[in-house]
Formats: sequence, structure tokens, C-alpha cells
Amino acid sequence: MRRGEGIRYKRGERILKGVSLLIHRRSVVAVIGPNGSGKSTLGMVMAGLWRPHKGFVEADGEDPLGKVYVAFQDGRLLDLSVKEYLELVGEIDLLPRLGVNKVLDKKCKRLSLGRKKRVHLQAAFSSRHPYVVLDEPESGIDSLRDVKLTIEELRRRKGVLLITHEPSLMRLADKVFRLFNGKLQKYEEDSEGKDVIREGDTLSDTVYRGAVFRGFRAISGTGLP
Amino acid sequence: MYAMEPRTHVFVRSFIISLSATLIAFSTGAPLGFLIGLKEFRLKPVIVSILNGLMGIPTVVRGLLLYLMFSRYGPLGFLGLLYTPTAIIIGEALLVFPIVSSLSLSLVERNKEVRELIQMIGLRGHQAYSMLIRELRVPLIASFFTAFSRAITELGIALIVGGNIEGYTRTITTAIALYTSMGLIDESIKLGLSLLFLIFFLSALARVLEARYYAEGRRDTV
Repeated sequence: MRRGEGIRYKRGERILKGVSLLIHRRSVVAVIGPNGSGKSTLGMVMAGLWRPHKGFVEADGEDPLGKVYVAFQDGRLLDLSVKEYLELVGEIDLLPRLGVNKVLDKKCKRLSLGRKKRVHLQAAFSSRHPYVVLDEPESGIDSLRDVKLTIEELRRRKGVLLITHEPSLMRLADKVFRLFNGKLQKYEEDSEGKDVIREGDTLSDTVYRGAVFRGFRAISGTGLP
Repeated sequence: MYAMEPRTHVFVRSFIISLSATLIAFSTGAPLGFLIGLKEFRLKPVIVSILNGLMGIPTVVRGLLLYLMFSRYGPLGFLGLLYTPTAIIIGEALLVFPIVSSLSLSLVERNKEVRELIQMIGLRGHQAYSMLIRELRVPLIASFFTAFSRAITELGIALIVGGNIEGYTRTITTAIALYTSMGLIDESIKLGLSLLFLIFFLSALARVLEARYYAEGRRDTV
């Protein structure tokens, strides 16, 4: 599992104002929110790529760098062949559905955005990283079904932070949070399918439930920045 | 009439001198730029402005300073380097060093996405550096051409510390300066044109390489 708690990330203005998030292995946590609410920032902070202004992030009690695979929204890849890239991040254990076998010998840079994002999903699955951040995996990929089935596969072996706008992907998640005004809110649908947002209900209660965490987490202090 | 050294000799000598200078500056300046670009520290803006400031020093002033260093009673006079090709190489290396470091520094900073990707994968230390260099090789080569162009078109240093000695330290630019003042306009124009062609060619090549690299980059971020 992995968790993030009370992270604050500041760039110009504060984007994340005390976010706590804990993600267990073999679970999917979705974060939704309006454009510019800081969803991608949260993903970057959780992966250890952007350092939070306050608070901390860890994966299995260690630095998350190299433990959290990020399937970047912009589909960026290295200037290697797809095969070389997959070997660099882990092993070659292909999900036939993603169709990466057809482009194994191609250069990553030469692929279309959709194919790049498929390579990222494949790499998220077969990499050695125990945790995954999927940043809007649905954008650019023609088949939503392929994305859904990949997320189901990922759930069996990894802890997944899913950043999305797509309602049908949200439903795959074990928990859904809405990032709004720099805070995480629990997000649920009532029996009639109407959105219910519980204001101010962050994850801190969940985070502190166990004594020792094997997982991915981020914690911030409560003082002023 | 006085027999001039063949143009090709002057050209080849200039080429060798400037290439050596660029190689020296590149092998030290590029790693420095990378290092500064990759680390975050408080004095970083100061170092960046020093590097930028160094680029602005006129070549004649650099030449003068080096002359004072290398002249017989100067601090480095014992090396006996004044009026040698080595002195020009040192001077031109110092000239392009800040250019190379600034270019590679901004290259690293412009390509934050690549750094993040390498970090995310979990590459560390030596592996991370070589992957970064591999990713940025095309714009790095372009900055090498830019630096070389600057070195070979420079006059002040070559004239002052090289001494424009025929068959020994005469370069394209010092030859043009001399021939023009001697009234050998014909020869000057020929040398000038060949230098221009070389520079246009190199700068076009550098721009094409960079444009291709960043065009690919843009396609990544649709």
C-alpha cells in the first residue's frame, strides 16, 4: 500500500493544501477534479518527482523514486526502441490487449500519442515498480475497454493512483477522491447515481489506522507554510 | 610580389586550432553546465549570471589579459606560450567555455521532462547521466557547432596572443585583417567568403538539428 498525507505543494500559489493519501498494494484509488485543481501535481509529488513544500512521501517506507511508475499524461518516453524501454524499466511481460507486441522494434519517439500511452500502460504493468500513477490514461487511447482491462490487471499486482476524468474508469476504483481547492474530498454516488461530496472528509483517519505501513504515502505538517 | 602562404594552409590551421579549443571547452564546459542545471542550490542564479557575464567580454580584452599572463614577465611567462598556436587554443577555449556551459545548462533545464522520466524509472548516478546525455545528444552536437563557429570567427585573441606569424599562428581572421591593411583586398575577400560559407553551413546544420529535436519533442506533448 502506499499513502500520501497532508502534502503541500507550492508553485507560485499553493496547489495542494494538506493532502493525505494512502494507497495499498492491489488497490486502485482514483482522484478526480476540475482542470487545474492539482491532480497531475499530486501524481508528480506522490512519485517523488516534485518535492512537496511541506510534508513527505514514501513508498514502502523509502524514497518513492524508482518505486512508483508514472504513466505520464503527455506520453513522454525515452529515445529507445519499445523493447529496450520495457527492458530498462522491468521485464517483457506483454498484455496482448495493449498491442505493444506489434511495435516492439519501433522507436518510442516515432509512435503516435495513443501508442505511446499504450506503451506506458504496458510498462506500468511489467515494470519492477510496485506502485503506479496513471495520469489520465484514457486520453489518446481509442479503446476505453483496453484501459479498463489493463487497470484490472494492474490491480492484481500493484497499488494504483488513477487520475482521471472518465466516469467509467472512476467506477473501477476502490476509493474515489475529488481534489478541490487543494484538498481531497471523499466522492461517492448515492443510490440514485447522484454525486455526493462530503466536504472536509480527508484521508487522515484512514492513514493513521495502522501502526506500521508498507505502502506509498505522503504526509504533511499542519503548521503554516 | 611577396609570396603568400597558401589559403588552404591558413584554413586547415584555423580549423585545427579552433577544433582543439572547442573540444577542450566542450569536455569541461558541458559537464559543468549539466551539473549546474541538475542541482538546485542557492548560489545558482549568481553562477548563471557570472557565466552570462563572461560571454560578454570583448575578445580583444580577453586577448590583452592573456597577453599580460603569457608575456615574458607575466605570471605564466615561464611557459613560453606567447605567439604559439597553444596560446590561441587556450584563449579560444576560455572564450567558448562559458558559451558551452550556458548552452548545456539551459538544455538541461529546458528538458525537465526527460529528467523526470529518467528519475521515475529509477536510474541513478552514472546511469542517469549517460541516459540524459544520450537523450540530449542532438542539441548537444548543435551547441558544439555553435561554439566552434564562435571560436573560428574570433579575431582579438588570435591576433594578440598568436601574433599572426605566417606559417605558424596565422589564422583565417588574422590573415584577413593583415591582407586588408596591406591592400590585398582580393585575397581578403576570398578568405572572408570561405569563412562565411563555413559559418553559414555550420549554423544551418545546428539549427536543423535543434529544430528536428524540438519538433519531435513537441509531438510528444500534443
